[in-house]
Amino acid sequence: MKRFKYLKPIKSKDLFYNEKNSRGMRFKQKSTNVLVYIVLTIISLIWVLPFVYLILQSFAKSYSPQVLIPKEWTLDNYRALFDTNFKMMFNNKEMVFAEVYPFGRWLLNTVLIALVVSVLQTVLTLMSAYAFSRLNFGFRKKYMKLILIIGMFPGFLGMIITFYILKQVNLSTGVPGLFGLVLVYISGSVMNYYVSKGFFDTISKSLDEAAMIDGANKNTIFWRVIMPLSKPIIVYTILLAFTAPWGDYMFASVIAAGDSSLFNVAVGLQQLLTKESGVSGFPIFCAAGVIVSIPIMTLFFFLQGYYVEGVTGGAVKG
Amino acid sequence: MAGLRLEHIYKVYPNGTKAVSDFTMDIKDKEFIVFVGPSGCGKSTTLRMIAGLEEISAGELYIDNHIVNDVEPKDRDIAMVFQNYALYPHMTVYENIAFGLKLRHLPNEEIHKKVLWAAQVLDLTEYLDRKPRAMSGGQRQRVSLGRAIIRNPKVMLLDEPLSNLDAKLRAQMRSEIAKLHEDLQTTFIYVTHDQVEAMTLGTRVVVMKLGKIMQVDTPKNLYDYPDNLFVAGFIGTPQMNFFKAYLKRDGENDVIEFLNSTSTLKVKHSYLSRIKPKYFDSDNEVTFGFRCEHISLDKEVVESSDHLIDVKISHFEELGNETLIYAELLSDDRLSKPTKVIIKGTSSYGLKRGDVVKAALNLDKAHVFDSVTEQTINPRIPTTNLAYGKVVNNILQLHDLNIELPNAIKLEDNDYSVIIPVNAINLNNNSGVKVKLEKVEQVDDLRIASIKLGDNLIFAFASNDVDLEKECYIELDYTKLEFYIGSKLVHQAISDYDKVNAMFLNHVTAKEYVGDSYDKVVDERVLAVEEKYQGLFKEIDEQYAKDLENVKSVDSKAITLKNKPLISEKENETTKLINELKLKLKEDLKALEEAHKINSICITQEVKDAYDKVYNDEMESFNSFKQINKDRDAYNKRVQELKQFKANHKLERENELNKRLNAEAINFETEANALKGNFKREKENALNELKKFKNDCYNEAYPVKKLEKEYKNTVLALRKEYGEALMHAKIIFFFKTGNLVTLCNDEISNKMVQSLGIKVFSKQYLVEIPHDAYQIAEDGFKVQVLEVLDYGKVKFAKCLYKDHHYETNIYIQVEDENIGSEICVKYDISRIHITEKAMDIKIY
Repeated sequence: MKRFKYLKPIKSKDLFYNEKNSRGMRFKQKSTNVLVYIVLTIISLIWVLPFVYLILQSFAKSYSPQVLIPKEWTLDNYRALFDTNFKMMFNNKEMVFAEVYPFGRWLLNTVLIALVVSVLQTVLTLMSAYAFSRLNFGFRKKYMKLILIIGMFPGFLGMIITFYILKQVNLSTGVPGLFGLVLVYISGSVMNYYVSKGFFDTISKSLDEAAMIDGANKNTIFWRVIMPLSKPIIVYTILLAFTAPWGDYMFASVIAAGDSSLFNVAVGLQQLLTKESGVSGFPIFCAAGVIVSIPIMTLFFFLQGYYVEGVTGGAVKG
Repeated sequence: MAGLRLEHIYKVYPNGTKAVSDFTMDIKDKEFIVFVGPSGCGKSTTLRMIAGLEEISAGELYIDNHIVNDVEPKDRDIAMVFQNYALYPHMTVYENIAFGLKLRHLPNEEIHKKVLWAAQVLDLTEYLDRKPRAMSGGQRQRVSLGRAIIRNPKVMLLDEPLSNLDAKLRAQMRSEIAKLHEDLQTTFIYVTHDQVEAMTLGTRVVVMKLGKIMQVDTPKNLYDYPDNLFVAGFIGTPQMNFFKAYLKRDGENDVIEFLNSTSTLKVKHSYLSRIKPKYFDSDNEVTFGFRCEHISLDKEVVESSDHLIDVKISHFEELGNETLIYAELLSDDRLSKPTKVIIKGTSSYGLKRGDVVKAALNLDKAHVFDSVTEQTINPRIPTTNLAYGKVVNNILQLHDLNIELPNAIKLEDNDYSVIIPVNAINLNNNSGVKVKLEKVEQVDDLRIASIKLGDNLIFAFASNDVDLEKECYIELDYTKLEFYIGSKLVHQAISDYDKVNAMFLNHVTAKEYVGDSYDKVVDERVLAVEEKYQGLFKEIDEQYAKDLENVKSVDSKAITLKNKPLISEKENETTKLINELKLKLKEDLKALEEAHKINSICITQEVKDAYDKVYNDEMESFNSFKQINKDRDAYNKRVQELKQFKANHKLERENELNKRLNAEAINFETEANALKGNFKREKENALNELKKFKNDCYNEAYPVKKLEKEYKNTVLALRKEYGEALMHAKIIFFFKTGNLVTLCNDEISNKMVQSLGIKVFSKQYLVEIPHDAYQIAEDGFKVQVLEVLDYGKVKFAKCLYKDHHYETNIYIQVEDENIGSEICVKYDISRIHITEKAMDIKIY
């Protein structure tokens, strides 16, 4: 019903108001609108242009930075990323690109890590946020503040000690290193409690109490009463938890330590740009960039359907 | 279905505020109790403590004679209805109601049956598959009630359930709740701030103020006999009229001098006979209370009445069947605010604003309160009497009664005023001083006799044998008498209890005083527990061995083989059934969706047609107007109107369309939910059946394993119980008074720990000991005997007890007069009362 909020009952006063005045007001409103739209268009162009450029260049046969639309179109760039039988000229050498730069493997690494992390982190974040919102334990407020303050430091400040710890438990190199990576990503998940806690605070506590009297324990309340009402915040948390490891470079590169089978996409793509490839690898880089952004986009489009407003409608007085 | 007992319940917040203090009440089975009071009086807190949502700071809560202080809400077998309904928004009404039973793992058919029953009781049958958001407030509250009644709880708690509804719905729901209470025959506790709800619903009403109980009584008694000024003012609309006044004696009559008024009333003494004499010395201000229906302006009543006051009419409120007349007491004093009066009448009696008239007071219905303490001073059940008398040669002369005083009371010959508590008078048919009874009346389950002493009346409780016709005698309990000369206390009564300080100790601390002497007690207790549980364990073992012998011969393999085809057949059947159900659901949903689509299109078309017609009509009328009209201004106005119409028409159309589509969508969703819900239930039923069948087969094949499991569980439970009992047996507590360290019994120590938790050892306690609970013993605490008081039937030794910090007199009931100057006494711990000193929490 929101969109009818400007529907007002007609009064006789409205019917005979001064026409001149109304015209002036209408003009003023229109001109404001035009101005707003112009500004918005400019901003959106600035935002969209790099992405359009990326997509277009990914289809280019050869890299030419001056032109937006490539002269010759090809799908070879995409083929080179995955096809291990596809030989091409790269960096003035004929080679199988996918063998030197195993993009498929990087993508697999990243997807696996991001999926595991997003699931675990979502559960941990929401649970801790719920605890902060509902349970009354000693030092709750102080603890919350402490987490906020710690969260303000950049993560890589603790990288050396974290790496050292991982090394002690043999999770710093090789395939176990990837598990270590997962561990590092999810260990800080409680840091993101704040938004979810704010959301849980808006859910009426009498729901919890009603469930308690109905015979539910804390666990049941969380999973069967609170979670079904928290779809928006679950989606938000999943997206946040998925994107962080997806684009992480710092720690991933430390763990990989140059072993290209352990790269994630961020590290791999960076490798692609620097290694004496110059600008000739640019179209392939663009193609990889497009592929990397597809999962995030699909995830978002898939999940945004759950951003339904008013899922809590009817719970309490309304 | 059960009674509740709240004993000295306190709620103290960490910052020290007491939300509820000393809440003691007995709630009988099937009662409808209403807590009422202004906001912030602790009524909701009390309810939440009963529910277990709020911790009880001190005191005990019993449901069905089981203490439930530390029991989780779900295990208390209560149900609660919240002010804001608290429905689960993602579940349908059916699921909302069934949630509690599902969590308790009841079989699906039973849940289904119960949900249908609850829906029928509450008239919700057609809404079962709706979501709460598609329902109105009253319906939501009914769902919430349904969720509560379905479990058939021992106690129903309702926390302001109607305050979110509008007035009409509220009245309707109120009668529904009353009916529900009739039907369910269970205990209801209802919190409200609305006195109409309280008076109409409750069998008994608890009026609260600032965390304290003001009065607990039936609605009628609350209205007719309020205990204090607060209850008098809170109950009843319009509010009771209060007049401040002084009382005086004037021969046979009493005089009421109203403050701030020109009127004085002369009334017969019998009207104010229950008021204590001290209020007649014109030092103590009293407050008279009259309900508006007990003041009358009716001509006939005024003419026949002797009790008239002058009032000045200020305005009227016509309510149809009656009229409220607002007036002020006529007063000479222009400085202070005039006292307001509200009078109920059948009409305005032809009066106008500013008229000065006489109003008749119905003194039979007057309530009188002490202006300072705000307590009533003409209670239904009097507590003390005051009599004026003379003492000559140690004989008390009360008007025409001569009572010989015992040796313990030695008074000089003089005039005295004597305070005689009502319970100190023993009214009987055979012994004592002969008296004449004025009348005997029945109040609740007590009989109260009034005895005439000159002008004065004194009251006594009368047993059933006492009657007006028979000869009556009184005996006084001299220990409770107090004598005054003027306002100076000459002889003090002995209070019921002696108060001494005490500490609560655990065994380790107590060892400092008693050494190892109580180790033996602990050993004995432990031994008793061990013996009891050894026996139980043995019993279980024997039973297990016997059962095992019976099933040993079962051939597991053969039975398994035999059952295997049966199981697989059942499995296939279930899968088939579920697949069929799934297919059916899919088809039904598809059909429903199609119907919904068609409906939506129809609705769109309908709306379009209807609005197009309106639009065309308007255009036509405009065109015809255009053709016949010549006036330019009128035309301009018409054009403007048309413009507005066009703009609004579009919006209205969209609005209407949206509304109808929404309604259609809700219908569709409801039906789809019904289908899905049915499918889910049937599927679960099938799966459960399969599971049960499999389980049965397994149990048939391996009875030994089943027995083993059961045995293990029983033993585990018993072992846990045993451990707890053993732990309790090992712990003993002590009370230390002076140098006496007394072993505490389990009941007291449980209450102490229950009430105060870990802080129990760091607090100081006041112990109240009845006089006959003492026992002279060598290992007791030392007291110095001051004198022996002879009260005729009983003798008390007045003793001085010295502690480190203070000294107090204690009275010990003794048989013999010669007991020496210093004795040691012990007391019977089961008869004492215990109070925590710092926060004044009554514990035992």
